[in-house]
Amino acid sequence: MNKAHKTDRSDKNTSSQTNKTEQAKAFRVVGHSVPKIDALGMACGLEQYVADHDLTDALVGYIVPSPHAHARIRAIDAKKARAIPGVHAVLTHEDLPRNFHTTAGQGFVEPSPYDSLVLDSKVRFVGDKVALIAAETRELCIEAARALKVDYEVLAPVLDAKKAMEKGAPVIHDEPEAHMPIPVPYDAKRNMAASASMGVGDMDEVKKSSHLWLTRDFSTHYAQHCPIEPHVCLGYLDPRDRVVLVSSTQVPFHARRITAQALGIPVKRVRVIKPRIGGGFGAKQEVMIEQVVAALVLATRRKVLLLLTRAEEFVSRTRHPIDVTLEGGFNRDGSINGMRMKVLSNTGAYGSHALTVMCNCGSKVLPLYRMSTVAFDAKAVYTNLPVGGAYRGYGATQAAFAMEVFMDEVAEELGLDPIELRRRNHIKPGEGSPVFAALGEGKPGVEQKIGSSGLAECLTLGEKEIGWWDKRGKKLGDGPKRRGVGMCALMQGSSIPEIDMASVSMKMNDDGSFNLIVGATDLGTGSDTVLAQMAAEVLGLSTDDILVTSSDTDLTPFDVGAYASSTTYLSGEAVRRAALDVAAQVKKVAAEMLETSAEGITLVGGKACVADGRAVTLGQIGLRTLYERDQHQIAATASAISQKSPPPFSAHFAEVEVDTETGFVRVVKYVAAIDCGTAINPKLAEGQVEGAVVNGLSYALTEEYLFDDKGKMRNPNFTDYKIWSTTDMPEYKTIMVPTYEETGPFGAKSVSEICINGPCPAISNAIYDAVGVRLRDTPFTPERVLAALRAAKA
Amino acid sequence: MIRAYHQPKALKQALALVAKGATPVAGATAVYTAKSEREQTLVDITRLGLDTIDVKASKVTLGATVTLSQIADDTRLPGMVGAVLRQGARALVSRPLRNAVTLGGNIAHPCFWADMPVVLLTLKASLEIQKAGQKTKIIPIAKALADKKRAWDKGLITRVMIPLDKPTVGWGYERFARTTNDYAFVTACATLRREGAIARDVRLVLGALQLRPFVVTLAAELCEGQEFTGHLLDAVGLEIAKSVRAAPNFRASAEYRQHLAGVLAKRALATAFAWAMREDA
Amino acid sequence: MEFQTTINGESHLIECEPGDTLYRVLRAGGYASVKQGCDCEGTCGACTVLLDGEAILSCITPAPRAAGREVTTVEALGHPSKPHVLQQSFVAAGAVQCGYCTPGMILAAKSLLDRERSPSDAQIADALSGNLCRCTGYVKIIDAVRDAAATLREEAK
Repeated sequence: MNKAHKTDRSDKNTSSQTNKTEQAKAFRVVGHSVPKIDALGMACGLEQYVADHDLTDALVGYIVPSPHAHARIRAIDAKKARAIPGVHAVLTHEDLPRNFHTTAGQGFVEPSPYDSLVLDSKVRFVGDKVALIAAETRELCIEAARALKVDYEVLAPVLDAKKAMEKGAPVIHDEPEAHMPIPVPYDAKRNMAASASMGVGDMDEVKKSSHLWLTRDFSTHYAQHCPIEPHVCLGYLDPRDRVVLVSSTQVPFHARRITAQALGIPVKRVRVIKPRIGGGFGAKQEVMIEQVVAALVLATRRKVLLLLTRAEEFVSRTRHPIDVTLEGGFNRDGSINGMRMKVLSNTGAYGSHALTVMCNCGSKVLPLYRMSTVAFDAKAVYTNLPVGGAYRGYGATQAAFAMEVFMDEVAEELGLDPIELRRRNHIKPGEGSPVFAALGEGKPGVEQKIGSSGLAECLTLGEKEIGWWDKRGKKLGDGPKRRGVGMCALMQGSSIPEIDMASVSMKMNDDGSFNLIVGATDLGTGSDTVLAQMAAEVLGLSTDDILVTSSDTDLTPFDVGAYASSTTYLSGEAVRRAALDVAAQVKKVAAEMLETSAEGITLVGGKACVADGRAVTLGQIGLRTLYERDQHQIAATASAISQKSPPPFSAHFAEVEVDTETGFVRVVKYVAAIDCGTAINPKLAEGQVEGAVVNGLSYALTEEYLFDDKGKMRNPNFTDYKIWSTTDMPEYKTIMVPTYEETGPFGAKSVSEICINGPCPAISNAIYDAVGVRLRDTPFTPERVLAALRAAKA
Repeated sequence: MIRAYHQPKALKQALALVAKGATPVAGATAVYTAKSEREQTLVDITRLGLDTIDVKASKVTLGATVTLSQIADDTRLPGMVGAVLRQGARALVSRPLRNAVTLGGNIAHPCFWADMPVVLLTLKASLEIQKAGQKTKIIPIAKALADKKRAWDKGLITRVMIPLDKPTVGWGYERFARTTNDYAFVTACATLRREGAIARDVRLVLGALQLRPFVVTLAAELCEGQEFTGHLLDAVGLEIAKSVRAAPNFRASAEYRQHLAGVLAKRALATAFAWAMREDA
Repeated sequence: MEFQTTINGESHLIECEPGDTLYRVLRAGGYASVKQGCDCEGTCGACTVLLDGEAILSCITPAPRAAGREVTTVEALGHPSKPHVLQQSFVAAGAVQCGYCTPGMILAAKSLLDRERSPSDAQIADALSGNLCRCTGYVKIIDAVRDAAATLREEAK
């Protein structure tokens, strides 16, 4: 296994970029791979996850799952179930208020339909909530579930997204109250959860006047995040009758608000705390079980633990399966006259994230290439299948697959090298795209020009590392096995501009250490560490002096949570501001102590220093301000919203070996070159790249939902839903390409999502290079590859 | 629902419990993953000294509670037999699972993904079976796997014997799965003897297609005495694909698995012949 | 039923149901580092502990299997003031993200390094083959074990 290496070469684009990346090397804490502050505790088995909390006298929570994909609950009788000793609560839709909400963990007003209830009198997918039970053991919950008498009126299900909007299709959300809380298209009667479109220029003219006009259809499939820790939430009433929820969540503040809304209780009556969590990847950007637990806690007045089984996790939230059609007109030299992207997204039984994932297909993919005419036309439809949610990549994964295979096809048609085609077209610093302003998340987006970009460098370095020119077009191999290489170019975003907000507090302690109190949510990504590094950088300290508390709605200031690749870029900026504020306060006191002016003071090595060599330690300042003179608490709170969403850029290169007799595709080598601006913590940034790539590889090749003809998932377990182990790993390399994003704290952008988008297109393109078959539908399982090979021979 | 868990230290005790209907467990993975609600009494047979490996000139004897890890790591297992046994044991890629799963359990518990029965059938192993109050029986594994009634019912497989008295043979082993940690969709294991350009004593076993692995006599019929060329192998592969049947598996179509059977059979035979050439050289 | 076992060097008299798994007994005993994530099917490895030094999946291991034997969980290897080389290597290599798979990974690695001083990357991958991680892509986990092996060889000199 190759160790990742960091290149020292800086962006060639502008000399100011070169200066800035050089300056960035002078950072003392930022830019260094300091140990993740909770890693040692985790390695010693001491850090607490939800289920590690005190469970004395806790009841087990249980969601009774629907056996039907689509049914009305005509009657539900819980008498027998409630009578079982040890069963403390059985809640049906008759016991709970009809407060429509969305489970999507998004800022208020959420751009997702209010089509969910804690419990409804209708079920809309196999596994949907029928009733809620709290009992002393899981066995008793199941016994109570069996004693429940449910009279279902089974309805015809919609199991095909293409048929969802046909005339006469069963209406999945026929309840009159379902609505979109923002003024965007929504038509539940036709099973349409969202639609959006934009257009600039005349596409008909492009079609007529272009040397090459190409149309292609692509499809991507269901997948689950598979965090090793499934969704879990522990709830209880505190002595002041407030509902406390210790939850494995990426969005504690949205969880508080939406739980309150769903149950009709005031926000102030709810507290959400995120401890350590075992992965999320977007699955936990959802308020899905908190309101369930809260309902059971209120009904029983007892502590309740709800831990989803792996089988339940598989039908909790998923990646939206999306069909993408691309068409475009190209000149002989490969430049683009215009492109249109059409999207059909299957959002499953509820519309959580339907609009926003769908819009990201356009907004995070189309701007990558320069074109004056562009059109985007998208719909998201309801089906009686598992619910699409937020999954790393968030629409960009699905659309980048289409775009990057499409570009490979265009390159072939024009006789151009695929990398050259990208070079001629990709967006460069200083350039913008009409898509940015036109396509936000349900509302118009935000105009932006690219600040930093290392994409050109990513292409060059990746091309070299994979050995492109020695391998492309050579169809090397022996016997029935053939090798090929493929590539792709990618962009994503960093935060949702003008919508999402992050805030942070800091306070100084006796010994010169600081508490850094952030709403931001570390789901294993290391954001607590990265934010501590930023504070330490400003204050001339090490991360040992920064004590992080995060994600407690009572104690920490507001933060939207971990999604949209925002924590480093947005929460980091709030940290930088708060740290500058306390730094100024520290310098003011130091100036008094040293009888000099504050301007002449620098903070370094835990001291406040003057040019002439005199200094006081931050500890001395701490003691003075807390106990001795002009006593006051040095502290600050700062907020940030972003004005733009500067894209990280990446180029991926894959070498595959296709077994033409079995269809098995083996990844021989994979290279991911990435520009994330300044990598605040290089090892953690690389970790994000590597985790995303491997997830993308199994998504491309081995992960698959298999449904029966009634909409039930047949393989909700790791035996039959395959994610990769150590023994599946190919030869692999991460290449970090530093740039400096002026609008980002210390030059940072983001890195958490983008690289999951690379494997599907890079591998499809590599398969084409190896065996000449073009795979436009994921996943590339052996059976499908073999079928494509046979079809090509015929 | 497990009513009792016994840990006898003497084989006699264990056999008495099993005769009364207790379920023997060694690795226990089968019982504990099944999570059956049926009432059971378990007999843990890992403390009966059945975990040794004995190598003699004429045969290898493995105790029934030898783990797949022990087999995979045992370099003393000699020659082709040793290589094939280790290959079969390593097919279970998950290390901690290999540390638990035992040879006896892998045979006794019928499931299509068990890898050891495939290699044991290829190597013409025999099973030693003991039952309370009865004489010890030795049964060829081919018979044991083919019989609908399990020969070890109400008794125990105690040892597995594999003969070593073969002239130099080559072997080949192919396994198809979706990831390294997946159960096999098809497994092919082949041994043969080489006489110049001709293959003799061809033995091909296919696993994972049916509940139990089976010998593909067609392979011997088509190959015996024939010049062993790529042409022959292609034809053999196609014939085998046509002749085998795959039990239903919702993850892959029967047609695909039958096709795979032909491809893997061909490759296992080719590898066996190449080995045989190397051994002779 | 009752049985005597040694957990992390301490003798314990365990009382449990005959069908209890070792996972259940360890969680009830407060060994919170032992996790679960696959409905106790033995497919994720988060429940990995060492039994007489060998890595096993505690979620499908009968609790009484530990009678008279030694069980090791990651808490026994070290604590933040005195961590084991493996724990330090995992931290330094960036091999810990959400940390949920980490205890199982470290124990599987310990079992390897106890019997193999200079493991190849393939041997490391084999030792950890039963432990799923969704965060790291395994790259830095392999780095960590390689580094730990080198450190332990150095220390042994």
